[in-house]
Amino acid sequence: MIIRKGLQPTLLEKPGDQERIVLHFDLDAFFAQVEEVADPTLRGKPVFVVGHSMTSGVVLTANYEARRYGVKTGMPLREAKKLCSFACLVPADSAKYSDTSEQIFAHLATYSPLVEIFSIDEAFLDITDTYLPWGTPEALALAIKRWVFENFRLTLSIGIAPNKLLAKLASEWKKPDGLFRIRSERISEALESLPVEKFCGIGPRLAIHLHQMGIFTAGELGRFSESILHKRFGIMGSVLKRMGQGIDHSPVLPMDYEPEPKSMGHSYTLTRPTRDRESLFRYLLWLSEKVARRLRRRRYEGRVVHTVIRFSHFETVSKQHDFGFCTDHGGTLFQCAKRIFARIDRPREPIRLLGVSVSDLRPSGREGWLFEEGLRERRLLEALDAINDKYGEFTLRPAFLAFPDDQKIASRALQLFGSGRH
Amino acid sequence: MITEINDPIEVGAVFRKGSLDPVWFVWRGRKYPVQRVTFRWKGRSGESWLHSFSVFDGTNTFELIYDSKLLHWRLGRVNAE
Repeated sequence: MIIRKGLQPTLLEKPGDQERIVLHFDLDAFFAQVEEVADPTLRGKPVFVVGHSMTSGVVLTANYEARRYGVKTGMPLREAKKLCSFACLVPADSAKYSDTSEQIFAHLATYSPLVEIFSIDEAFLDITDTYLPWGTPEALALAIKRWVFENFRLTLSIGIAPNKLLAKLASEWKKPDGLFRIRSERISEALESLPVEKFCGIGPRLAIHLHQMGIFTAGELGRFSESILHKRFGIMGSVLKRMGQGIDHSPVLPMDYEPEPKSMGHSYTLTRPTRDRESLFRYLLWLSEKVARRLRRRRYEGRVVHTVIRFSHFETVSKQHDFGFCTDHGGTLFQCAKRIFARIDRPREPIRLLGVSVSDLRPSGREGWLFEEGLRERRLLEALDAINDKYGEFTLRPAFLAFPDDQKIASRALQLFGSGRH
Repeated sequence: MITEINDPIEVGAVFRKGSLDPVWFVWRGRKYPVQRVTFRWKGRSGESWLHSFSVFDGTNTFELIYDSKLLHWRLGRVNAE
């Protein structure tokens, strides 16, 4: 920021207000597109990428042919099949998608040091200081599109704008295989009649609230009274007002940036709701071990454990417990999660989702190991982690997770928590 | 229709300039020519790196998996018309 002596900084001199050039990169229907490229017999046909059960669950991604029938990502498979009964079902292959995504993101880093990975198939790039060798931001975007197509035969859509909010909107503008730029002088025009639900962060529920207030377009949102928005939505009200005006100061964070975590957790939706408490405890232990591994990898410990249960009729209940001391031990987390589970469980009701998380985190190692027993346990954990780092997650695991009596759950859990489906 | 197989197979492959290309494979006594490698990716399984290939024989698509530690190939899945 340049502040000249005796002059007030102008709006343009505020951090974030300076003309940035942000690019949003979005692979079109990524999982489905990868499957279509990998299998030429699928081309031109509607395709659903689904979970391994192939009979239940949700559509993870539908290709554009399937979308023409109204099928959307996240739609229950049963519902999707009603809309498009002849679609080809392909089981998802996470190794295939993550390896492809990693290679593409590594290439994006050759265009700018500021590449923020937003999801497995989306990223933001701040190219303000790096686009000149290509002449224009659009030429740089075309170079990325060309490289991805030449190397993977995949198409993507790119949006270019002065900030992340608008770049993401712009990439949606001409999907698939699109390239669209929102220039700063055209922001008001672009937003005037844009439905509010098009913004990333305004979901169906929030949109209903806004509609009830007579706000349907981004233009209307940007002109709406901030104090009324604030009264209704709290601090989110000001954020919404700025969204309506196309203002977003958030920076594009470099790939290796990791914010301080406030909590860490994992949840799992069961293939079928179940009443079998022993199976549920296994999942709970698995989730606890997974959380503990993550805590140890990032060198954190936590003292408040949360357990969440979603019953088959979608009612979600959660409770927490404060240990009074910090831990990163899976078994300890599990014992606590199990106690919380017992407090909120309704034994007659089938359960469809379980979750375990830990909050009130602090860097590990503050509380020294005074007793030999604690030290031995710590050494054992370190040895287990070293083995699992080398040979893959859950190569060594508690015996309770061996699932001797339930091979179906065992194989599902291994798919989820093991090193891949291979 | 996609069918999971996971059978061990015999594969003829060419290692060329840091790239590995399967050119034929034998599965259940029948030799299949690889007309095109349509996609390739890798992933870890324990200590092994698994190199996977989607290959097309002109009619059907097959997934071949090469374990670089154990030096063996298997047929992962088939999408047969």
